[in-house]
Amino acid sequence: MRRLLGFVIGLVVALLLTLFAGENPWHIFLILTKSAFGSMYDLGLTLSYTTPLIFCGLSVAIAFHAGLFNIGAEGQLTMAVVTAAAVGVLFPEVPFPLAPLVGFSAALLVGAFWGWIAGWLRAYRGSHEVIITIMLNFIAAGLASWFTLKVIPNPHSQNPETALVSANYMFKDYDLIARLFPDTPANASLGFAIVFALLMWIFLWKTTWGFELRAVGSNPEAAHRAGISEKKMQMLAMALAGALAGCVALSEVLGSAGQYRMGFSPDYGFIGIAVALLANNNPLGIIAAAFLMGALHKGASDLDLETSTITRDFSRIIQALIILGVAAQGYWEWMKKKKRRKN
Amino acid sequence: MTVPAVEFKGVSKYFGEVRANSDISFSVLPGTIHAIVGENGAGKSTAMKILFGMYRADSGDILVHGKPVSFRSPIEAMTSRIGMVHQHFMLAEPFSALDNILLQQKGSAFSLLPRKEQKKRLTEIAEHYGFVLDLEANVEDLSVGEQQRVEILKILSQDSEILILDEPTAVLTPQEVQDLFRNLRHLRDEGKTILIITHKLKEVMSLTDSVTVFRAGRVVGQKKTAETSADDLAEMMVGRRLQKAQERETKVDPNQVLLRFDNVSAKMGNHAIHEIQLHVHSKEIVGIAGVEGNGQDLIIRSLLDATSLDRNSLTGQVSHEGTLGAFPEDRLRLGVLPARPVYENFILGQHKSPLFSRGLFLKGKEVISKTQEIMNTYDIRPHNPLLSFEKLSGGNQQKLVVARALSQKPQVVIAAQPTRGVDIGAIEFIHNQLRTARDEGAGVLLISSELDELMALSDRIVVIYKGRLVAEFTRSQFDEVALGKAMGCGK
Repeated sequence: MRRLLGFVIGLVVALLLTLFAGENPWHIFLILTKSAFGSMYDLGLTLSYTTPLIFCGLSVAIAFHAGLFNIGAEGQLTMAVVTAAAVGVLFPEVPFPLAPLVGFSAALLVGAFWGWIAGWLRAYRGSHEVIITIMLNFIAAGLASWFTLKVIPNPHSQNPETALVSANYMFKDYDLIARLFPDTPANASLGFAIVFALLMWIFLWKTTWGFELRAVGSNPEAAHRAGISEKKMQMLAMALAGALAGCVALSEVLGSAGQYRMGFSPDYGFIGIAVALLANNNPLGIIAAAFLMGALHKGASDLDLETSTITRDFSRIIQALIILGVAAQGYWEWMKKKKRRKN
Repeated sequence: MTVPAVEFKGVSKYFGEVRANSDISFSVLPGTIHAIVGENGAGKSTAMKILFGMYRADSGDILVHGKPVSFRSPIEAMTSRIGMVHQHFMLAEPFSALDNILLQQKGSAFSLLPRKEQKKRLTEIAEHYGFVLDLEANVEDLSVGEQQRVEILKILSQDSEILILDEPTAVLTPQEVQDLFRNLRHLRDEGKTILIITHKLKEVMSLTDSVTVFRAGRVVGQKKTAETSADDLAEMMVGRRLQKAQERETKVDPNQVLLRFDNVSAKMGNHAIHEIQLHVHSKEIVGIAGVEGNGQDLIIRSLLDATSLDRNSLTGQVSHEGTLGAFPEDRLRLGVLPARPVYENFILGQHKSPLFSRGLFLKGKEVISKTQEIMNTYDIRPHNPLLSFEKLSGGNQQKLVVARALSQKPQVVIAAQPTRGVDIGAIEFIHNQLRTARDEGAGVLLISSELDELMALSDRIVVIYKGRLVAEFTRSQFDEVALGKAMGCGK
């Protein structure tokens, strides 16, 4: 509840800032809402942003439960998306029901591997995962552009993107969500994202592995004394984080675009950190938080058209202020204290 | 009538919903040593921190030499000639004792003197009060007792008239305690007023002139030390009579060795243990006495966590029979998940037992109900398994750790500092639990820096000094002076 209020406070402050640009905050708010939810088309776009944000939010959250800060979701999802595209381009003969499964599994594995590297280095070499994941982001970006431009470029386009995967890899024909939102990238992977959030919730709170993972995150020394291998759990958490970020391949390649386009991600991996924070790392909360963040992102995209002074980058300002509003929980205590003083 | 040096009048302090101090009133005469006693969480430290300007009272008045004061920071308290020695020393370890003392003088007239002059003045002060201290030595090379003297000298150099000491004896050897007390008496005779926070009643009786007893945030009594007794004070602190420990009825079983250390040596960083030879039998409690940091933790690690020792440094044989139950020396760091609920802490380490899990899945309901049951039988308050662990008081926290280790009836029990930071009521309970485990056949290894505890429980005490077992005492030979000597200098 407090987090929601923090969200509202951040949003209100951000809107008030538009006064300085000579705009009417209420008007801006209406543009945001209309652009995010105004039509089935708008909602479809909002949902297409929501899905990767759920995956990235889960990725950051599961690492966080193990006491690790995964700033590498962006790199992990990049590796996974390129992998899915590469499998689809290089093995066009795989028949339909199997093909998306193969593409998805390969993406998961590569994403998990990319996360696991940071986990392994943390567990056995003591390297800080924040530094490592940031560096891995750069490596992933470099690898991805090399692969895209040199190995499987799109011969029919000047854009930096891979060739299209074989049609066997796309599940469009069976996609009910895509049918609901025609002409948008929204697709069935939203359903998968919600199922994954549920599974993660069960994993964390109902299984012994989840318990061990959280124990390591809460107090690694005590967990160690209790016979839990903190090394194993750190590697597991980072591998799972990488796999979850890798799920973006499902929504991006197999569900909609059918290719890797450089720069497709508006920093999903980093917005995922905000999503996880907003949801207090609760998998079910992440669904809602991702939806709010997705709506913001979509909503801001029309600011360019509707106003002369405010651009879509305004969504970054809103995000920042929302994070501050949510993170600065201290003022609740302060307000409570003040209230008591009065009594 | 003399004006009290310090007087509390109806002082209250809240932390959130918790009343740390409610309506505290007491007074301390100048030139006396006054003890503030009470169990953990009774509000002693809070009251002293208010006096020293670290907290501000929500209501009530504090008078120093008859004048009302309200310090907003320790600096203000210090300028009113009040000084405090914290339980955890506030020293910069790589710096010399002199530098540490001068650090605090920033801005005073004293700080403008040339360094030579400053040193001379400090040496004079130290000699005047009979302090033995090398001012040029680095703090990290000083013993704990000497570090404490640096802290006290720091205060004296500011001409403080009122000294507050928070649990000053917690980390000292018996010899160092004697030195400290001699110094404190000397200071009192010079007219200083000393407030000492403690829960060791023997020290109250031997050192102080008067005493104020705290219980649950309130003052429950103020007495002249000469007119009271340790038993009376204990009763006031706890609010009920304590049982006398009973003589044991079972006998050590000398034929059944449950825990063996045969010629064990190990290393971890700067610490090492050498040729440890120790057997623990069924129905026996063996105590390891020693000042902390002499290798106790390495003995524990060689048994519980050998991989944390330096690679290949462990030699000799460590073995045990049957199951093992341990409570670590530092429960918050090594034993629990402070931010997690009580029930998760209860299953930590036994979460894979069929009692609490089936395959990969935890048995949610059983975990909660079993924790509830344990909290009821061990009276761990409040009886709520969903509460986060850090919300429990120190005594209840430790009771849960003890319950977790003993509820499975292990054959070998490793009890490290089992009653550290725990109130009298819980100490009594934990000691009884250890006696019960012993009577039921377990072998108990008790590691403690409290001599009273070791002598009350152990059948045998070995003394560890610089990583070696230097002396062994059987029950009939227990003697505080001899034990203290072995702990302090290995002889």
